[in-house]
Amino acid sequence: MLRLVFWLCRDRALAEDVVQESLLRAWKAIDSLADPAAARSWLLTIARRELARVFERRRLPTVDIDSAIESGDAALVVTESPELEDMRRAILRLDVSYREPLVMQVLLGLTAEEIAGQLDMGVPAVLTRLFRARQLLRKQLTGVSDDEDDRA
Amino acid sequence: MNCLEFRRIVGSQPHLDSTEVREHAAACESCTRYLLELRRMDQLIYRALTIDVDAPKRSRHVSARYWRLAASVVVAVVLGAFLWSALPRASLAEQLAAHAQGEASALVRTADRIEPSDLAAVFKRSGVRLRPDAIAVSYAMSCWFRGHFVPHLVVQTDRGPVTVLVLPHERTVVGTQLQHFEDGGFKGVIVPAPQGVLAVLGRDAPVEEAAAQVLLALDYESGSN
Repeated sequence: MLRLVFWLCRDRALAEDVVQESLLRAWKAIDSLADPAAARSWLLTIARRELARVFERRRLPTVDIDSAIESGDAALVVTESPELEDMRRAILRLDVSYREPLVMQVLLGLTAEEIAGQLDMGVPAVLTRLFRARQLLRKQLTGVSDDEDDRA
Repeated sequence: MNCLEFRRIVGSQPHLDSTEVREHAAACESCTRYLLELRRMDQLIYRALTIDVDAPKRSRHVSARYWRLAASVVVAVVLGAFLWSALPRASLAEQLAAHAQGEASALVRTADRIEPSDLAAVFKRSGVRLRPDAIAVSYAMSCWFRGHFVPHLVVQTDRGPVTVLVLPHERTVVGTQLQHFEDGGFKGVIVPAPQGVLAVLGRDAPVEEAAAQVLLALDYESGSN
């Protein structure tokens, strides 16, 4: 949950606050969880709503992507692999509308249907965003777009 | 399924294991390379996303610009505090003179004396006690001055009456030094006291000497300031 929120807000301290508040809310509302098997998506929904609440309440400062990597958090610091650092930088540069479904799919292992449920959108739209997210990452990392790849 | 359809499907779900995907990959070398590349990229994405949640938070990089800003704030605060501490003293003298002027009619030589019970009432809640008969008080009033009710006295000395204000809430800003002033026809002195200050004003009477006498007559309760 912390990783998801971090990748959504790009701020470790804020992510920790949001997760803490989300867990408190979840604890208070535990009776509303009818199906224990749905606990994960239930928690994710709470966390995403809490993050949205925080963004509504506060005028949050813009996070500079370079400084987020270079000076923000030890968790982002990669010493063993420059390619990981490049990837993190590329992910941070993605618009949140692409980043969020990608994180849900790759990190949390959610299916397209589950992501669609979380984001309250249709499955085709989710698939389009996932496709576009990978296209953008690929272009950032290799400089090659799928169109160019197709021509090759 | 053509190559474009294949790439759109695996581009959104690289690990989708369907018959159509397998068949196309088996028939198209280019799309197989594309699929493998996507899967490698997905592994990298997963590793990149899996940040170490237990990693200690690093202190945020503070740029020189912020240090300069912080330094200027500190300088402004120190300077402001210095000016603030210096200016009220002049203002206090002016206010003392203005207040004494407002009750100038009480500043007269007289043999009248205030009853000890009335004196006690004036000093009530001030945190200060005046020992009865230690000085000759001809006028006593509890006055609103700079945010507090404070004892205002007229004390008769051998060389004339003086106005005394007992100000336990005022902060001394000149350490143990006395501060003399002249304003509105008054000569005055502000004297550090065990709590706050004591102010004595007069027209001709020796204010410093009177202040010493009054201070000796006052008992300051500890912890009342």
